Amino acid sequence: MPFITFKDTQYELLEDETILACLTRHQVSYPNSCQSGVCQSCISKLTDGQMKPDWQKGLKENLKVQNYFLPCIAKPISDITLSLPQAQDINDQASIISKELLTHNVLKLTLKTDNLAKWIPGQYINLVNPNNIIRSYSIANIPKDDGFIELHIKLRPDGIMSQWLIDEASLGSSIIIRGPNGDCFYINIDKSAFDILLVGTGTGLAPLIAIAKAALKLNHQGTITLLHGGLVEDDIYYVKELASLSQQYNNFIYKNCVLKSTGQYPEISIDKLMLDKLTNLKNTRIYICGPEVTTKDLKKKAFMAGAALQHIYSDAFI
Amino acid sequence: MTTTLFERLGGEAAVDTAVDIFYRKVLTDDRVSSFFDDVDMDRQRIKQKAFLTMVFGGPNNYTGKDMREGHKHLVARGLNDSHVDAIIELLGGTLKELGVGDKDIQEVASIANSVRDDVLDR
Repeated sequence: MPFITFKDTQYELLEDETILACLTRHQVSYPNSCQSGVCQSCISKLTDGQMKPDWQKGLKENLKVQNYFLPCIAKPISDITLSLPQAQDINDQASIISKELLTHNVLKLTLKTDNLAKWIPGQYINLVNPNNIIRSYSIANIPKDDGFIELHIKLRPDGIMSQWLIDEASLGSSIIIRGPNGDCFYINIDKSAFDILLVGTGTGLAPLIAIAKAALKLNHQGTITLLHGGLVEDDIYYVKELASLSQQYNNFIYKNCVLKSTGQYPEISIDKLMLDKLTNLKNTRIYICGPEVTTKDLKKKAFMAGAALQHIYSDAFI
Repeated sequence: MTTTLFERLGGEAAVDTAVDIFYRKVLTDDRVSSFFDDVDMDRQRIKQKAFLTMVFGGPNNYTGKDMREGHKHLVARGLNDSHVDAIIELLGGTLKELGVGDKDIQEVASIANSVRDDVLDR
């Protein structure tokens, strides 16, 4: 079997094994997160050997030409050498401006950085903390207009990054950001009119707000409907902001729903609400964001209901 | 000069429509849907589009080797002639919905049939 060389050490691949799996199997610590070719946390530079285009899935062109690839999906059939990415190729410096709890388990984090126009509303960025832990979060605002990047962090009791952000990250401290990536952003070059249906649960709301704001700001022609679902009412946030946005813009509609209601918000599942609102099948773009299982399910249901797959954009939170 | 079904259907845009109809049929057909349960829908759509383009006689670079490699894991999961038959049937149903005549449907079925042994790794 072929060998991979990393930091002057050789490791032999098993049959059908990815580079990341091989390194992990040899107890080599290599930054990673999703392990499925999506988050780009494990991005690596091929310094010798044969590249396969599949390994560069989703990478930006400037990184592709510099021989960057994703070891978590790369299964070489001949010897290769790889190195950690060079900081100047992929990193941007940011500093933490504020931390604020939006719900019992969502933290709003705002970051200051240079070159704000680079950070596209709705796409996700990789946050790299000083311990080299990397996690992906979606941009929840229009950084260029606001002067900062807003992220919504789902707090998990066992979440290494979220607990670090809560307990250790201090205001003003610096953090590395990479990206942005992902399919969920507003694009309408020829200024055509179409409806937009934004569907998400939990912190899936973050990119959807950003997309809605970006579309509204560009005077989008067509109805923009944002649907936010939660398990319980405590999961629903930004109700006031979104309600006021819908008062400000005639073509913006906001609805929420929960699985267990005490009467504050309607008790209906997000998939039912989505199918209720999916009336203009021929001319609607659908954005779906949130946990992977929900996202996959919603995407399939929208497609089976007659939406064109090309017009369904989704980023699963892996 | 004879034109291909791909051209007569309306080229790439028509294949886009056909793919969505075909994919919906595949996902709801109990005979074959389990093979498609765990796949990335966008990537699957791209593969199906390449397949439909090929069977419609459009520009494609499908090879027997791709077909063989791409389905090996499914053959290991029990993919057999009955599933290929079902897919060809669903393909015919898709074309019928698009108003394609029987003669063209048979032509498409025979092209699809020509890759059967590659798909089933025989």
